[in-house]
Amino acid sequence: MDDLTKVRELRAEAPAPDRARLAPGRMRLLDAAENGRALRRTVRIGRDWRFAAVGAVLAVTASAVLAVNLADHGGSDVSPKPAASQSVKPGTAQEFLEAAARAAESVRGAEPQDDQWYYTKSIGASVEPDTGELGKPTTDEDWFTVGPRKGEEGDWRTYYRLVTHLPDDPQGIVRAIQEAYPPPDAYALDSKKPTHVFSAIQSVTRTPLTSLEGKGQAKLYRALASLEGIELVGHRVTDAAGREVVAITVKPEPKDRYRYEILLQPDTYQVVGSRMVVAHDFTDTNEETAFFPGTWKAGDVMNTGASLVRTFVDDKNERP
Amino acid sequence: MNRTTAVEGDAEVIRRSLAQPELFAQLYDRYAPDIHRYAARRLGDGAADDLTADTFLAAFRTRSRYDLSRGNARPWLYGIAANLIGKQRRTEIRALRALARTGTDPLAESWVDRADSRVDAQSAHAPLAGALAGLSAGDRHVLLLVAWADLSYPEVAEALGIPLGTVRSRLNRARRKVRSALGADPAFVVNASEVAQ
Repeated sequence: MDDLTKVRELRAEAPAPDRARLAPGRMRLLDAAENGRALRRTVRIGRDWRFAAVGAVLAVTASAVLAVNLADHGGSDVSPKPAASQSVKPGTAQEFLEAAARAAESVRGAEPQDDQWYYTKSIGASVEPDTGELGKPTTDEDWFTVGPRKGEEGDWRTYYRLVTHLPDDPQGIVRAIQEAYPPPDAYALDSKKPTHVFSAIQSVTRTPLTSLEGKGQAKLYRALASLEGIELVGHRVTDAAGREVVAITVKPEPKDRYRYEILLQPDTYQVVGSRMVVAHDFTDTNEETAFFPGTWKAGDVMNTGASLVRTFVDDKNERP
Repeated sequence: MNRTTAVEGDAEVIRRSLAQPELFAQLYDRYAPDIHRYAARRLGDGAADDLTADTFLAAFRTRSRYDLSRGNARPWLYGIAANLIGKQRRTEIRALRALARTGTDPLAESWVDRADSRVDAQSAHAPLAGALAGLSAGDRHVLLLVAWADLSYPEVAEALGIPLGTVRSRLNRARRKVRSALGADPAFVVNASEVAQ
């Protein structure tokens, strides 16, 4: 018997997986596709779609390894915190976003160095097709280069350049986002449609880490506030980490099956996550084309993501 | 599966998935069973679940860089899987050494009944397992992509991003070591039909 035949016999009894065994992996892929589709209307940021999908920041940093885990409100005395106006109540989306803009403008923070890494940790969950309910949340970590580095994909510098050069008007902001993150295909983004503008802005809306980007984020919040149909979700919302948050959304178009929400902390105005929610009742059982085959009710949460930590660290794989 | 039909459409599926991301699931349906079984043979049944999912997620995220002139995505996917498997090479080597040392394959426990006579057959693979554990990661990738994934030499070159000549030299080196471990003449020349792939 020749050597290759012997190699082929080794572990040849390994069974082929059945469909049920492969279903969770397929679901993870469809989750990614769903978020990819949402982003296709807007931008493609970095290598990790969840990074943009979460659209959130909750670490505020003043040094290389300083991070604040807002999951337990573990604030640090040396962290720069937005000077939120305690007098502002979330009565309307416009009021709340104006308060968030002012908080962003007040952020002070150190600038990262090119040889540092941008560390993110997030948590998220998507609906399980078998149960129709959100599955067990999973956490993800990632490291992005701050400055250019051979063999690595960066994100932070691109984002930083974008938010420090934003125009004031929503249409101009959408154009700037598209220029910074050109879509790989010609999916049309109509800057006259509030839902498209909302998606574009959501993809780059975060709690700022530095003072310069804070000014840009303030423009994003004010642009959101100017959108027709922008509103606060009128009921209690918790993010993927279990924190009570304020959800801001824009009225979906009649054909839209889903609407999207930006989640902010009510006291600090920090952007902490996002959700995809069913906009109106529908049934679609086509397993080939439907993202989530089944019957769904308005308000069903299909996907939720939250940022746990964002900060700068000195080395890849280093955690704060 | 009608492989010819599937292969013809891979590049088109990837191209269309740029605008309609959910279409990428078609590639999962076509190749996930093969990738899963390959991963199970290298790292175990349990690890194969995550590795298969991670392979397709990585492929999905990098699909805009896929060379659409390549109609068959199978080598690309195996290349991604091999890269992910390579990150767990200590786990792989540990299991191979355990088989070499004890004659029992820890990876096969999940799919082989302990009372089954096939367990005894595992001990016959002990020298081979020792040889595989002793290969460099690159040589092991080439040998197992040929033997377990049934990739041709050009497909292995495409999967691993290495020249065809490097595939041949790595395979020859790996096979010499395997033959030596099996007690055969390591100088045995690979037959012409294999070289011609």
